[in-house]
Amino acid sequence: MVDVRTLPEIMQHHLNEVECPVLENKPWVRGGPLKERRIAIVSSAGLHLRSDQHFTGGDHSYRVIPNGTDPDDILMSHVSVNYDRTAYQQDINVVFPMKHLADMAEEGLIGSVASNHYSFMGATDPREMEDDARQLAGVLKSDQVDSVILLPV
Amino acid sequence: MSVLAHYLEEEGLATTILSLVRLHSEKVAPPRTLFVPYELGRPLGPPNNHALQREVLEQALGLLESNDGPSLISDFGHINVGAEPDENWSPPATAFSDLDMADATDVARRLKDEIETLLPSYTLAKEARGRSTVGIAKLTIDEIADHILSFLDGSHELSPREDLSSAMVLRFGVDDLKAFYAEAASHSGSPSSWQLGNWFWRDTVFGQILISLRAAAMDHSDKRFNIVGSKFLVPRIWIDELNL
Repeated sequence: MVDVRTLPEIMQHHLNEVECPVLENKPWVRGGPLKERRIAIVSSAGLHLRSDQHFTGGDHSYRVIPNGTDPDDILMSHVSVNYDRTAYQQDINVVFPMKHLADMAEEGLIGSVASNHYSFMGATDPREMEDDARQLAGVLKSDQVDSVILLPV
Repeated sequence: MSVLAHYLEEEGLATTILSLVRLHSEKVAPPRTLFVPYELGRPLGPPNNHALQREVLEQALGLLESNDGPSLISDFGHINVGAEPDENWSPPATAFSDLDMADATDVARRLKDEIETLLPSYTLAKEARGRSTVGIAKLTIDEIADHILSFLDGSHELSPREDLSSAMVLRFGVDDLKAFYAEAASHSGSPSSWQLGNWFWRDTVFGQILISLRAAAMDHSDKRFNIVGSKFLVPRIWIDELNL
């Protein structure tokens, strides 16, 4: 899917109609070289541990996934059925590249990997996630995380 | 994701995002975005192509060292690898031909046979991958099949879980059984999502049950079933493709 225009008309219409908030402030955090950064994943794929609470429609909270979790212990309960899940079903790295991040740390390309990663469920209006996101920022900083990669689905 | 990045950046964390919809990234304009040309659902590209996934990840993280703020959108240069069909892939055999949805007993038998046929491939795939994504409903595959089939004989009001409504168990059970089918069918070869979808929605008993169930649930007197029927059973793209 190179761009929205290549999608079937019904999906083009849906994606074009998604409301996108206008954010006036333009924050830009500078940091050191990548090899000194401590990095966490924040996903919106509705991922969680098997033992954790599933996501429901309108859920604005996040779930914690400890770094190094066995991929077999991770499930997806995103409420949308309108995206491909078959790739994730074959290989978790297409949405949650914990293994690649660990390899990059091992190779010295990044400084270190966070103790935990996090997932929201992206069908919720992101403005309703603001309080949880700002609270999560504090949690991340308490783990000495300085940089985050955000992954949609 | 773009809005979440904005909040995190405001709180002092440097962020970088993979974007699957360039239009949305352009509108929200978060700090750092790598636009990737992949299907919704696979931001790092095709499954099992770890070299390409690493390249995507490294380019996205590399934006953290850029000073071209306050809003940077970069494009991942590779073509849409992974969307092409695997011509050597053979879809699993199914019991779909001459299916009469009005014959509930035969439909039930054929669904059970189809699941039985797929089970060895599912088991091998799970062993090879070291994981399965089945488990949201917290029921066995047989229990899920029985709950789905209960909609054919009218006994579907009873939920097999005390903590979830029958409608929610239907939603999660359908997700689980779809995952069971996809994991089994993709055990051999590298089928594209379109190949798997074509097989599932055109050639499987389960796919046909979901198409019928969608129509029945949307006409149900209980709103919860209306919602599950309209939103959670058949993807929008297949509703369009099959003229449902």
